[in-house]
Amino acid sequence: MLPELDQDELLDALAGGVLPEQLPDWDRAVTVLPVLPLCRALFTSSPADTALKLVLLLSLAKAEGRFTRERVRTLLPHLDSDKTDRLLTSLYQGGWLHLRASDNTYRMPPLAFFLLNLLVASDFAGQTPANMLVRAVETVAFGDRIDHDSTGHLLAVLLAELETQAEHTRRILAAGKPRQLIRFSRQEVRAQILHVSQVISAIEERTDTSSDHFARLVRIHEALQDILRAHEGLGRRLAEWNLKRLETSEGGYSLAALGDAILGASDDEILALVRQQVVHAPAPAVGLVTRHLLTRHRTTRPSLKMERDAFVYKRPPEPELEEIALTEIDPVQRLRERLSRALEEGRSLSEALFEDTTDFNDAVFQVTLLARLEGGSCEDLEVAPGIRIRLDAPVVDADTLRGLTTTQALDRLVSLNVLFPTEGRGLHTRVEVTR
Amino acid sequence: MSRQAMDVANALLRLGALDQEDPEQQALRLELFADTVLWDEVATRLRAVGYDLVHVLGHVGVRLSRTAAVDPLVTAKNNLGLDARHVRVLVYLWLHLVYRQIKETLRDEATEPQGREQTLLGLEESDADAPPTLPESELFAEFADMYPKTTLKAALTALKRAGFVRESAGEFRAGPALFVLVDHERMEEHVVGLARKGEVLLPPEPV
Repeated sequence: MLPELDQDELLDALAGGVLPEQLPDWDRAVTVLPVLPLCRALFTSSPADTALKLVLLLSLAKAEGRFTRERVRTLLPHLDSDKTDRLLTSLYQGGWLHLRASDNTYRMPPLAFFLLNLLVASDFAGQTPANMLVRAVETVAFGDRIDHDSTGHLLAVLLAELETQAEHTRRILAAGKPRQLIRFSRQEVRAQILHVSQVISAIEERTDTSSDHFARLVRIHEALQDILRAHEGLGRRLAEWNLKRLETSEGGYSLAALGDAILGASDDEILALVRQQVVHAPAPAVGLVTRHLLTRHRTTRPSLKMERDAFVYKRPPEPELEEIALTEIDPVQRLRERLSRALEEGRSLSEALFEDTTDFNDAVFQVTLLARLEGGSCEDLEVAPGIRIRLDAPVVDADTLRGLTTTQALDRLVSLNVLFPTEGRGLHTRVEVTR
Repeated sequence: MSRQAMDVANALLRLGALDQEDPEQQALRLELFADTVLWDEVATRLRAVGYDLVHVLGHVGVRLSRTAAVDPLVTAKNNLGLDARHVRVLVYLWLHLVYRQIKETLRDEATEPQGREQTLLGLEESDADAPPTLPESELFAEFADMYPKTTLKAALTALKRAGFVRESAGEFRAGPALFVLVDHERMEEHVVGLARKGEVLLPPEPV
């Protein structure tokens, strides 16, 4: 049964234009409200009253059947009967007890029974650092079993807390004071993390790998690993300190007694501390001992000699020599080959010259290559035995094209009869073939 | 072996013990604490040349390893240049500045302080373990019957130079070397042994 919410009070608390349903976690918050009357009736301003009500409720929860007021008084003979009546009335008004009018008997409704069990099982007084992590994850597991919708929320809460703790442990490990480190070492973190991992794995098995829950579970595992790593580093550091052994080797003397012993000791007893290396050298000592160095050198040299492999001469492999294909390195040769192929296939040489040409720059490059081919063969070019070609176009002074755009330059070359537009094939030039 | 580990090992060999009051050395110390892999690499490199990487109550430094120290050729150079007066003062300072700190830390742990807010894993931000100090007047008074004041001052100057002790405003504090260069467990055994021996030699008190 959901208590009625005062809409005016709610709207007064919200910013203008915002509805309660638009608040984050509003739905989840509302689900807790059914226990509001129960909590209000149980947790009064008087701790004594609350404790007595809990005593009464726990007695009723363990007893069977329905209760008349007389039976309740019998169950709790240690309580004053008037007080018992007042407590029963208060609990009845708060919803902890249902009254059947026909026979004036009481019984705890299921919601009250569940809340009472929840409060008892939580064992709030027994929370210690050694079990808080386990409790946190058990709450998630409980929520996951009772109400699957709450799993995501509880995981998010656990993850936020674990990540904070992981960061904290890293900081403690890096710069923590001895007291903090020792306290941390006593939290049985390994056992707790093992338990948490088992619970999380059980939730993981029921979780779809593509869901948000799964991503949170992965991050929880990472945070747990961080905490575990920090804890291991800590254990090692404490062992290095030898603090635990020092603690057990307590001599039972006061500082004053030990101070007197130091003052009363002989010089020889005091200097024994240096002889026995209890106090170490402040500066780096000798790094190399010549005798050791010589011994090592003399003993390792013969063995090194024996281990050395015999040298066998091997003729280096002959490099593989191949004729360099000029077409691979010289674009002029590539043009020559292309023109030759076109001639063999009976295609137009003009077309072959400009095939694969996509823009004006390419066209100029191809014409330049042709000019170089011509230049290399004086006037004309032998593309096949007995077949020679030469560019059949007037020579254009470079100054006539200077400062023109691409389109203007092409138009100028067409007007000077260097290039000829061909329907559907773009621009071409003329080549004279001599056989 | 990473380049960083080599640099840190070299710096530690050069410095001996890291000074917590020097920002650069403090940064180096935190770097070592935060990176366990780096710590292992540096320790391995130092062990190979006869040194131990030591960490005592937050102080980090290097000291000659026990195995290297047994070599007489090495130990011949290792007399510290300290005589019995220096060592006696050093042990007295160790008792009041380091041993007391260790004992207080352990005692605090045995009786968990009440009323502190605990987090999920029982860690807390608050920390009240300020390092112990020893007033100059108290030290001078203790040694007054044994050494003249000038002798005691000379011994303290030598110990300060070696990093065993710090002094400010008439108070002595432990230097990093007093944590790093002393084998605390064996020192305790030795000092307790001295106390036990003195107890046996003392005549019974009259009733």
